[in-house]
Order: sequence, then structure tokens, then C-alpha cells
Amino acid sequence: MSDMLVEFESVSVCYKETLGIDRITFGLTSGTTLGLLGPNGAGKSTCLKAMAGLIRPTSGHVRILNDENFGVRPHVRQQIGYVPEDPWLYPWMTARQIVRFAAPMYERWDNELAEELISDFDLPADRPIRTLSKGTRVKAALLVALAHRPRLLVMDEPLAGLDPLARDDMVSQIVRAKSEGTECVVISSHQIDEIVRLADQVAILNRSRMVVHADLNELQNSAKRIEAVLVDGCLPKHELRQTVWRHINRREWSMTVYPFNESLVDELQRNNSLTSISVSDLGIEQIMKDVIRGDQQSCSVL
Amino acid sequence: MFRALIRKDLQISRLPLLLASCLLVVSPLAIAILMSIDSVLMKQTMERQLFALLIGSGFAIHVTAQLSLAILSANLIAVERVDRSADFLAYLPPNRDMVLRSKATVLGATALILLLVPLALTGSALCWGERPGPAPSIEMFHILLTISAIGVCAAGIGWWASCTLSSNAVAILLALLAPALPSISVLLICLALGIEDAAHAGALLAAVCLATGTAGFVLGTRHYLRRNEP
Repeated sequence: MSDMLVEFESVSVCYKETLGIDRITFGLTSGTTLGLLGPNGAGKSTCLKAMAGLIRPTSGHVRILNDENFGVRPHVRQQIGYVPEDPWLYPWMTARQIVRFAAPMYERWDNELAEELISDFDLPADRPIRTLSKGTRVKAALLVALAHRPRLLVMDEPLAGLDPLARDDMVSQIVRAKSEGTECVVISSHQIDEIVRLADQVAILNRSRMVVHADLNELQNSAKRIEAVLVDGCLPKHELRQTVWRHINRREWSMTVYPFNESLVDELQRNNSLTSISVSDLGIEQIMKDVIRGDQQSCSVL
Repeated sequence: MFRALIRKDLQISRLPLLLASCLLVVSPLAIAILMSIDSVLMKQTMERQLFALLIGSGFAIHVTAQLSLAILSANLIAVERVDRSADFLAYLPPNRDMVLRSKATVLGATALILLLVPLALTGSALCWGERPGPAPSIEMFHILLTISAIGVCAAGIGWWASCTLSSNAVAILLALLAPALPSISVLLICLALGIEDAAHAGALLAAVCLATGTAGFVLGTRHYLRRNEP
């Protein structure tokens, strides 16, 4: 038996005429928090839905908690908490009725925690869900996802549309869930700062493919921007195999390389006519942008 | 878990169930009103009046029950797609089998109640009322059977539409219109083959309706269990 909680093996999901995700392979072990990044339409939601058992892969295998048929096994699904991008719940139910409805479905449902979350999130417990704002509905969905103490927590842009205070509440509840037994968290978001706060691994999706899956710190430390100035009249003669993205503007030659090591600077200098060269660090947001732009340039090695 | 699903399915079906309850009360009332304006019947003994009221009510409830069941069947699944609560249900632990079993239980239990009430009324009529004339003929039984078959057709097509479509309104409309197709088909077959006997035509209609309704239930269930979307 594998020690992976989440395993994707060459998973593709096709909708009628479009490709949701294309041959994605990765695995997550206990204790991981994965931040899923990428532009709109990259396949993040499809990936998360496949992880939550909401859609079946067209090809490939998804194994959650070592079970490939997790989507039809209630006892496995009881260990997964899912927060969709736009949660609707039952619009005519109140938050308290949602709790009463969901509680018998989970063996590990914790009523005390549910009440605590209602109070922490400042949820209007006796108002129908349809009268609540999107942010409050997300909180209600997170309440359902957390109150049964899931082993795997999957969240699709839960921070979108939330005010900074609500975002803070949300992040602290996710951190708390991790400290209280949730073994693996997968979160997609455009809020890079929050991802950096929460995640220890990041995956970047673009055009339905996973172009990067790496340890967050390792990615931050190993991806560097190299700025070189070419000798007047010269063109780049030798490009690095590790180039993720590059841009040439007259004599200024910028590139993002991953993984970086000092020998790459020597390699560039040796094989090109350069007047100067400098190396700088990049933030995750910039790395993500470069990876995506590079993937579109098709010069990526990733 | 199953009980929570049943409770939820009863709640999402409250309008069709309310309609069914209303028809359960209104049908005997309408029969009573119709009887009160029938001067011939009013001159009969109390026992005979009671017999007519109970038999008439049973028949009326049986007919209106088919309407209620068709609406309930067409509403049960599609209503959760309209407000997108099906998406929420999809990521809770119950799998599709359980979700469908809960809905089928609500439909089956309602059908059983709506079938038992007219049966009970008929039984009461036979026990306590006084039959005014000869025993009800086999033709009466055939009529009831044909009405039931039409009901199965409407409910089956409603179920299929509910499993397939995202609008409960369209599913209900299809359910209500569904018996028209077998009826027209049978009419055309009778005209083409020169069948003039009403009993034969009725039996043919019952068979076609029953087959259509059963196909609706089977295909709808198969589609629901196989579809990718909630």
C-alpha cells in the first residue's frame, strides 16, 4: 500500500469538446499543503473536482486515501472535505439546518467544532443560505468541510471575493485544521500571498497541464532571474537548458531559470558575448507568471 | 445517513406533496358536492349514498394520484439542479446509488399511500355501504388499470426527464404531456388495424403506457448513475 494520500496517474478529463486536464501525474503524502496556481481556465477546478470525486477521469487513475473507487465509497468520502469555488449548498436551508443535515453523514462529525465555527465565522445561523453573500456562503461551506475533521481538505479558490478580515479568519481555520488532524490540504487560489502563508508545495497549471510541481521553498530558492547585457550587435548564441522564460529587448536579455546553480552563469558567459550579467531572486508570483509565459513561448524545460 | 436524505427529499418535494395532499382532500369533497346536486342519488338510502360517495371518492383519488405522482417524479431530481444544491449533495458522502434510493423511496412511499387510500375507501364502501345495483363489472377494473398505466407512463417519463434535464419545470411538463404520445399511437394503431372494441384498445393503451413508463424509469436511472455531472 502506498503512503500517498492523493495520487494522480496520467489523469485526463475531457468535457464535451474541451480538455479539462491533460495527463496530470503527481502525488501528495500526509502533512502536505499544496497550493494550486495558474491562470483562469488552466484546469485547477477540474483537477480539484477529480480529487473530490465529483468527476471521473476520462483516462488515467485517481487514488485518494489508497482507493481508486473513492468516489462511490461513502466511508472514503467521509474523510474528504471539499469547498467549491461557488458553493450553493441548499439555498432554502439555514446554516444550522445545513449542519443538522450534514452531521449524520459523517462518522467523525464534531458538533462542538461546528458551533465554534459558526461563532468564529460570525455566520448568521438562522438565515437561509440564499440570502447570504458569496463570502458568507463560502464560510458555511468551509464549516461543513471542516466540522467532520477530514483527512484531506480540498478547496477551490475559497479566498476569492472575501474581505481581508474574512480571508484571515479562513486562513487561520485552515491552519488550525492542519494542526488538529487534517493530513493534507489542497488549495487553489489567485491570492499568492495566502498560498505562500499556507502551502509547502506548489503546482502550476497552464493549458490543462501541470507544468511545475515543487516544494515551495525549493522553488523560491532555485528559480532565479538572470539579466544579461549583450555586446552591441550580438545575438544570444547559447541558451540554457534550464530556461523557463526569456525576453530579449535590444541588448537586454532577461531569462528565468529553474533550477538555478552558479555554473549556469559561467556557461552563459562562456558561450555568449556579454558585457554584464546579474542574478536576482524571484517571488512566487513572478515565478508563476514566468512559467506560464514560458509555457506559452514553448521554450520551457519543465 | 439515509434518513437525512429522506428528510431532505421530503423537504424538496414539499410542493408536489402538498398538491397530492390537497387533491386527496379535494377529490372526495368534489364528489360529495356533485352527489349533493344529484336529485336521484339524494333520494336513495343513507347506505347507498355512502357507498356512492366512497366508491366515487376512491376513483377520483386514484385519478388525481396519477397527476400527483407524475409531478413528484419529475420534480425529485431536477429540482436540485435548478438551485444547484445537487452540486453540494455531490460532494457529501452519499453516493449516487444512495441518493437515488432515497428519492425512489419517497416516490414509492407516496405511491403506496396514494394507492392504499382509494383501496381503503373501496373496501369501506363494500363493508359499510349498500350497493345500489349489480356488482361493478370487469370493465370498471380495466378502466382503473388503464388509468394506472397512464400514471406509470407519466411518472416514468417524468423520472427520466428529471434524471436528464436541469429544469424541473420542463421535466414536469414532459411528464404531463407524456401519456399523449402512447394514446395517439394506440389511436392510430386501432384506426389502422380496424380495432373497434374499446376493451382491446384500452388493454393495448395500458400495455404501451406501462412499457413506456418502465422504460422511462430504467433509462432515467441508468443515465443518472452514469452521468458525470451531479
